[in-house]
Amino acid sequence: MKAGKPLLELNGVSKDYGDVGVLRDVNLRLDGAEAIAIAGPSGSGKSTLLNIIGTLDRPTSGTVFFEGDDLLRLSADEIATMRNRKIGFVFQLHHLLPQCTILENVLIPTLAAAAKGRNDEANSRAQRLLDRVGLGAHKSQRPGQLSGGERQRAAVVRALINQPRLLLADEPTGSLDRASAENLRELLIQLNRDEGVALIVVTHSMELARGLDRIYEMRDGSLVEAKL
Amino acid sequence: MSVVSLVLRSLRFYWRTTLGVFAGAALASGILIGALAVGDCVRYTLEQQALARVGRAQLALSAPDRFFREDLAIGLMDDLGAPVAPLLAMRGTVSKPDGTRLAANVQIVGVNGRFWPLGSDKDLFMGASAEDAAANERLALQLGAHAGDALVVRVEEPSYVSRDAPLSGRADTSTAFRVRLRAIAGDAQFGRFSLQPSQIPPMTLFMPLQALQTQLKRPGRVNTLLVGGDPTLQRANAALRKNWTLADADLELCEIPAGLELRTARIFLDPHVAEAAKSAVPGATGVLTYLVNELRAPERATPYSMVTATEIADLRDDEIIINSWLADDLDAKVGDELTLKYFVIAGQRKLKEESRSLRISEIKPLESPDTSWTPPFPGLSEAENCRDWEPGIPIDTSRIRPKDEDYWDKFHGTPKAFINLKTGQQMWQNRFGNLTAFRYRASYNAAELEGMLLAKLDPAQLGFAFQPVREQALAAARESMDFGQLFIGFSFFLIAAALLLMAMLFVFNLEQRLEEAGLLLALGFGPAQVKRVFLLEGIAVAALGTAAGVFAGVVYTKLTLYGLATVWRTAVNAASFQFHIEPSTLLIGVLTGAFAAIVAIWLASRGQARRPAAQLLARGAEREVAPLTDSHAKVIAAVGVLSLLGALALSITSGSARNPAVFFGAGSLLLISGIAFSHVLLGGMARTNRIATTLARVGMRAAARRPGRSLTTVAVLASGVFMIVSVSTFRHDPREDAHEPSSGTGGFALFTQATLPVYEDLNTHEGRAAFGLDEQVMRNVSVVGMRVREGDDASCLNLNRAQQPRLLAVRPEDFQQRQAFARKWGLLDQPQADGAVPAIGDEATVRWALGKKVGDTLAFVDERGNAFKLRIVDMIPNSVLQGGLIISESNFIERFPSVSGHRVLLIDASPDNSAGVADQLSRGLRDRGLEVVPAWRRLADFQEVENTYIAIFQALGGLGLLLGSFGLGIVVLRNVLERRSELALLQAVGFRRGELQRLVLSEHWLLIVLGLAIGVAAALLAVLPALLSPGTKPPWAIIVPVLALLASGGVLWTWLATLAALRGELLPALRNE
Repeated sequence: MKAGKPLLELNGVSKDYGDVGVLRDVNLRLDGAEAIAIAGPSGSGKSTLLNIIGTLDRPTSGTVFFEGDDLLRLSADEIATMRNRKIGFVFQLHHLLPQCTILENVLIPTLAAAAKGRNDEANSRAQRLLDRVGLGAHKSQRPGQLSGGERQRAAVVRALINQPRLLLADEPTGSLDRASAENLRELLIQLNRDEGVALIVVTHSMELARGLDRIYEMRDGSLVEAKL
Repeated sequence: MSVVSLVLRSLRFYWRTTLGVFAGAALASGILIGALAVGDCVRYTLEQQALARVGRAQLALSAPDRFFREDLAIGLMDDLGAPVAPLLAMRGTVSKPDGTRLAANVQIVGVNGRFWPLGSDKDLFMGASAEDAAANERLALQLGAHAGDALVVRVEEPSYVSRDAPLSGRADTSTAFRVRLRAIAGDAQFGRFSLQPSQIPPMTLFMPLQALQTQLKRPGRVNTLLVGGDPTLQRANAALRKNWTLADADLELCEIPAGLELRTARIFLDPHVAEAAKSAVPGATGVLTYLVNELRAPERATPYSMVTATEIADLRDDEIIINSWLADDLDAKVGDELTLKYFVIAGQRKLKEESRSLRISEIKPLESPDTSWTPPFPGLSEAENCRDWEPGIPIDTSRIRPKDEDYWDKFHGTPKAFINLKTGQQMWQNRFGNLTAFRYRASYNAAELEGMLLAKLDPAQLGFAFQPVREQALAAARESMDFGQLFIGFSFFLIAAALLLMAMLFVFNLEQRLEEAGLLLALGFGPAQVKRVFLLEGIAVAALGTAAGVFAGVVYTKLTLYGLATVWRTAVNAASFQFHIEPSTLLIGVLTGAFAAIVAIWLASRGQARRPAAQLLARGAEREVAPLTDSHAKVIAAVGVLSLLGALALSITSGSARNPAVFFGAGSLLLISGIAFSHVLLGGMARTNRIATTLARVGMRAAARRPGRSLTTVAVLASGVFMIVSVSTFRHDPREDAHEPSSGTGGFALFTQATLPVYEDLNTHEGRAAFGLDEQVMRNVSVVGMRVREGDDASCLNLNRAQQPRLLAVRPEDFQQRQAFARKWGLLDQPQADGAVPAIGDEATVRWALGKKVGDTLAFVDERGNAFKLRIVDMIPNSVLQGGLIISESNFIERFPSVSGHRVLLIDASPDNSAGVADQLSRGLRDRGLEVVPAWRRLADFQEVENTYIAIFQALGGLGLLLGSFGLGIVVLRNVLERRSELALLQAVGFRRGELQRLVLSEHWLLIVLGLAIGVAAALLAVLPALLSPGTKPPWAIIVPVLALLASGGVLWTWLATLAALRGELLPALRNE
């Protein structure tokens, strides 16, 4: 991170789909290992904002800086490298590859060109992380043999395998039962603190949002910090 | 974890789709490998047959019209240190003594003990008597003959002189004799021996050499030499030149009072011999002696006298010296005018009497006979008296007086008059030569002179040259019709269908896994990297499938060989092939198959995973298909309109020409147009804002939602129908317009081929009488005769590449007058700027058997060893003349003067009389080994080959269509499975299961109907010329079953797929959503 620069900075970000404006003048700043939640009803633009932050989408206007770099000026290769090395994703659905074991799934991000040459290190890290989330004993199993909560935890480990600076979670508990959702919430908060990784969680669950540093709400395409 | 292990995990996990892709790749490459292997089998078998045909012989010298010393072989053997076998090879007929079975065009080969080691494991004539013979298996089968049976052989007694030459003796000189079948020669006993490349061995009768020489009255003479071992061509030809003598060229040096005379048993000295004889020794004198019909002084005439032309000092061109006997007979004196009447050649054994008047310059006393001036005219020289003359020209014996007999008794052939050589040559020179002898002064002895003459004489100029027969045989097999390419062509649609099916399954697999692609993108893989991962999967399956294709290829090859040995046997003239695959073929097949599969997978996966990760990760992403944009629709519509206009323009401008290629092009354009319009139609249906008011409309809208899949279905069906239906009209029925001169029969009713030449003109009373033909039956029958120079069969019945096709000679006016075969036959007489000889050939012969086209040339060697070129000036489509090239008779006799008589006779007879004529000719010309077939039947034999090829194409194309319709089933299944929740919704709102099935059927029916309609319309346009031809009917027998099969196949697959997809409870699908 460049000295004095925030980890993430969004200035006046808007996103339109044809005539429909999804995001309007969104500003956001995230420092160090902060953890924030973005809440809001379905269709309010939460996921769109997360995709823009995660470089999976581009804004119609505005700027996005990551560690001081203007993401909109990066080439496709640079963006792929950055996404691989500095950003981790956790989706509502785990998107684990059914053909691979849990350990293999966790290691998938290391196969991208940007992560090559770090196999041994990645293996031991994957092992450690899986142990930490309680999946050490399940590393050789396939996703189909795990419960929903376990799969989602595996997806979190996958997101952390390349030691990203920022972890993005899009409705991570959306498809989990209450107990699993609570477990995952605690895991994310714990990882944020222990691993020093910034966390942005998009959710419409206030329960998940609780315990994070800040909570934002999406209202009619605008991002507003909620008063707790 | 590595990309490779990720790929392997994916292949294993998605094994069902992997298996489909694997099967598609295995099938496509299997067919490819199998088709190439069929080529290997054919080539290998032909090579084996070629080796069985020539045995261990490397070189051969074949001079069918020359009979040289058998001992020449001994000299060559000593020089070359290699086995040399002398042979006497003739053509003849062999029959059973009771006449029940006859084999025409049999190779009668006289052999001695040196022949068998070249190709047999034993000497079949060890201890044989002169009456013994051995038949090869084909001849024995034809005659139903067994060892111990008696057979009657008929061959033509060889003549030194062409039967066309004046004074060549009587025409009918065939001789018949009995033999006893001692053994049947199988392939291991050199039974396939032949110098002509063909997969069908000739019928051969082997006889002890000496016995055949005796029968043919040619003791110690042979006409073929086979050389084994490994001498080079140059060494063999050099040894030939060294060991060659004048006797081998039928030349003889005779002592005469003034010295030595060079004369020939062939009457006329070959021009090359004459040239060499003149240049060998300075001062040699040429002699030309001729039989004149009459020598007339104004009041009196002397019949049939020899007159010699030679170089006589001080004798003017218009002067003649006569002997005292003639002067007395004519009461002539010096200064009187004497008129000579004599025959000259005016066509096939047709003579014209001409005359010339000369002034008597001198009368020489006749003291003693001097017959040295007169060559040994056959039928004349050996005659005891004048009334026994059979010189081959009409002799009016009533004109022969007792005093003429006296002269013959006392002076025999002593010339009665001498004229200047130049004058004689002006009157009597012909294509056989213009000299009967050369005289040399007494200053040389015979041995010296022979050496001088041989030094000047090149054996090759008389047709004596070795040919590398083994090399030629292997070349004919190697350059044979490429069945590998042929079957790749036949299987093209099947290969394409397999690749399409494979690509489609691969794409379905990708579509199923779009979320995975999105995830990889989200995890930092670049788009190209993601694509590579999936492509790697495809390549791995394609490679594995291709490897498995080797086994599929073996199965395909064996099935094809089985087909060629049974239902398709006419395509290969009943040849049977051995299974054989070259490693290089496997390698080429595997590499090509893998390449084709990988390209298909790459093309199919191009459009996948192009969207952003966020979209791909969203559930149901695979269902969103970009609609056809306006600009794309316009471009595609423009392609459709232009293709349609092109099709119409081609059809209209072609007009009455009805060029099949043009119409095929028009049909193809219509096909493209139809597919383009289908694209636009489907695109339009997808974008329409009209409310779908019926279930069928809802179905059609659904068909438009996946335009790529739907269009693929339409295109595969349309192309398949187009190919199968259009190709079917190329089937011919030779009987439809067989009586038309413009047809492939040339309007001739019968096609006949004689083993021994027919010298008589069957259009004349005399000619017919010679064979006892009934004038009543033969009334209004005309015959066109063709001379034949034997060569390789260049028809579709011979799988080997013809090296030197057989030549047929016709008088162009004979064909032109009746406008036979609708060609301009006058082209055959038009001189070519480079001196090439114009030739016309059947299209199949020129294009396929020889690999040539109009304007191309072929190198030939005439019987005197001179190289010349043939230029193809025109081609005849689908004709009875397939197998050889046709040149004009005048060009033919200039190059092959010794080939006389006709061996191919085309008979023009009315259809109701042709059976009677065939019967007459078969009986009358039995001794000439005349084979008579209706012209349409011969045409049918050729066309059967083509029709079988079409049947193979249709069978393999049909399999491709079946695979295509199977693909349709997969598309339906995929479509329906994708929309299970949608169908569940319809069920939830009150639709019954049967209605849902109808809905699914209706949307896919649209595709089937579109595909079939476009295919049929394009095919019918393509075959319009054929349909408009008289006697040709639309190929309903093909169209109706193909359409019915496809339609019912389509319905079946759709129904099965719908049933499978709608099985079980649908409503849970809604909840899963």
